Amino acid sequence: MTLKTIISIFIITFSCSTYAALNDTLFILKTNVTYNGTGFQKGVISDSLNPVQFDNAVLNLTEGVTNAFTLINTDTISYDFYLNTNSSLTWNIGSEDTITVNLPILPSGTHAILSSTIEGDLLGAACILRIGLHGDYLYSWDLWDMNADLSQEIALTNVLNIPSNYQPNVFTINADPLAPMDTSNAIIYGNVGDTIIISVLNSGNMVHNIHFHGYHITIMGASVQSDRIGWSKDSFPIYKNETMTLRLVPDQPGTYPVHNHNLVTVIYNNNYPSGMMTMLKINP
Amino acid sequence: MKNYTLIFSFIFSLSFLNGQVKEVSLVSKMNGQKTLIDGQDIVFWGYGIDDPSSQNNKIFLPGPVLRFDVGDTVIIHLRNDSPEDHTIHWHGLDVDQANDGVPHTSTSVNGGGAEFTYTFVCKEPGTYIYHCHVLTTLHLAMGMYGIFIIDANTENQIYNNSGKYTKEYNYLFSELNSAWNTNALSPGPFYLYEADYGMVNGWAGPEIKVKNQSITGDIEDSIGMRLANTGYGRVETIFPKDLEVKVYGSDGREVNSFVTDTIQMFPGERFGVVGYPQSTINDSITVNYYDLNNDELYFTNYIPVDISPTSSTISQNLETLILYPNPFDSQITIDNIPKNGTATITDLNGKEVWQGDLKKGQNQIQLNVDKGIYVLRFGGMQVKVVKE
Ligand SMILES: [Cu+2]
Ligand SMILES: [Cu+2]
Repeated sequence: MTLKTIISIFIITFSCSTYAALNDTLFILKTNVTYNGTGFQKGVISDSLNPVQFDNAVLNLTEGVTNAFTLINTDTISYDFYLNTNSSLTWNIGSEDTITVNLPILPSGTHAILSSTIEGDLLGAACILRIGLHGDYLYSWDLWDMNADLSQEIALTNVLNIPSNYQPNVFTINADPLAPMDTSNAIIYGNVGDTIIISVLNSGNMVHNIHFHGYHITIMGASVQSDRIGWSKDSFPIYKNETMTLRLVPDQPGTYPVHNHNLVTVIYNNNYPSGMMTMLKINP
Repeated sequence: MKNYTLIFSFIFSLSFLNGQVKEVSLVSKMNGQKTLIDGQDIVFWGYGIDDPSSQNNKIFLPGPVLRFDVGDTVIIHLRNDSPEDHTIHWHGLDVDQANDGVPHTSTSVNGGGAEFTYTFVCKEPGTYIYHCHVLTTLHLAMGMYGIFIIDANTENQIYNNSGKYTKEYNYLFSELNSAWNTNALSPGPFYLYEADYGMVNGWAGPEIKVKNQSITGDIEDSIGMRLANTGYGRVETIFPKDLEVKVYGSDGREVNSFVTDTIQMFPGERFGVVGYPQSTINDSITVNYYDLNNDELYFTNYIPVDISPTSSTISQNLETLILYPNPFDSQITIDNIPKNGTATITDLNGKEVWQGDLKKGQNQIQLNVDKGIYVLRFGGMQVKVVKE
């Protein structure tokens, strides 16, 4: 064996192992978030201990290999988690504990780690897994709804489930109730002819709906609506705990809204447009 | 060679641009009045045809059906004859930004008579919605919407390659929160919106039948239906057991067709389906309206479906129903009755003039009626008889 061969084997092994054993450390946080004077409690699996924005982590993982990451629970309660596309895959983490989350080989597409613990479930603590997705641009949207007063009760562990008279007044994309604003990481930038892959998770407590202005998208994957894979749509639901993979290939330039067409959700603090609306900004 | 290329590209551009230029003038207003089926008077905002001579500039709930052919270039003038700003967003039509009808990325049409002209090409056949996009949560709920249809390049077909029908019905499902429509200027916090009324093309309850929204046909018909949900909740349509419904497309795009008995329609979704009667039907399509906050059913409407035997079935059976003399004087002999049963004779207005039992084989009946044409019905058969 020549030295060159040994080096190249080493490089291949090394590069594979960096993909296979992810060095990410994620943090379970539960915190009061305030936007425009209105506060609400949010659960999050964050990639930072002191995040600026309380959006859930998004992991881009290689397909065909196992993956792992470290999870640190900063909360004073324990959490159970499961994979939305395979609920027999579960993890438990004690209060203020640290575990390694081992992920088996998963089919390509969008998956999510969700919490079956009531606080984690209702407050939307989750992690989006993007397995083997390729495109000119990759984006993700995490849709979550809550009633601000109810969220305080949930954080005090006083709530067992969503009440039947639920009237949410907080609607967020990537934990941001001001998702149409330029400051939001939900806004999609691209060019005519690009392939833009959007992973979507509904970590909220009700079904949500997405309407695209300007374009139809193709549903590439959907964990609940498998019968709609391949459809070209401009308006469609995403069920609670569902993950979807959307492909957008813009055929015209322009700035267009994308929003939930249950229009009660495009409001925050009684202001319109807010909440579950964001923008597509497509250059020629 | 050059000439051939020129001719070829000329023919190509002709076939590509097979549409025409069509123009419509709409008006938006905020003074619509309507009485709900429980007697409650509400105000609605909406669109009408801007034609003072024939329509008196009235607005409708929903707005007028806008219908064009695939390939058409449409020019739509909006005159905003109301105190507040409005627009029209062409939901699902993928028009360019300038014509998208969104105030902060396109243009608002100011109140007090401002005008704007929207122009775009109808690219794909199917079902679409148009609605106002100014403070949409309120303006759409107040009634500023309508259905928009693009016809396929083949007649009597929903899409270019599929969805052939002999009869067609188009249903726009919508809802309202009657508290907003009685107090639109101070509706309260938007998140407290709660729809309490469901509509089919603007009608509810018994109005659906009275306003001719029922499906009628015979068992050889194929019933094309364009369905659209412009409400904020889930609309569930449950079809009669003997109407086999096949879905051919959604949101103006064809899909691999499939048979279903129920369609769940979420806000802004549209479906193109064809129903194939498997027998005579005297039933209805159940339309359930659900609140998305708690998945609670809050309203149900019924679209009557009346499918009769086909005219060809009738004429086939007539051959076996031997009746003489015809014209008759006072006695008719009916031969070859296949089994015992009840027969009726009506005049052409449907008024019954005779009813009686017929037994298998030959029957004689006495009939003292005025001169004219009558219809004898027995089983699924009917035959005209003439009194001289
Ligand atoms: Cu919109
Ligand atoms: Cu819309």
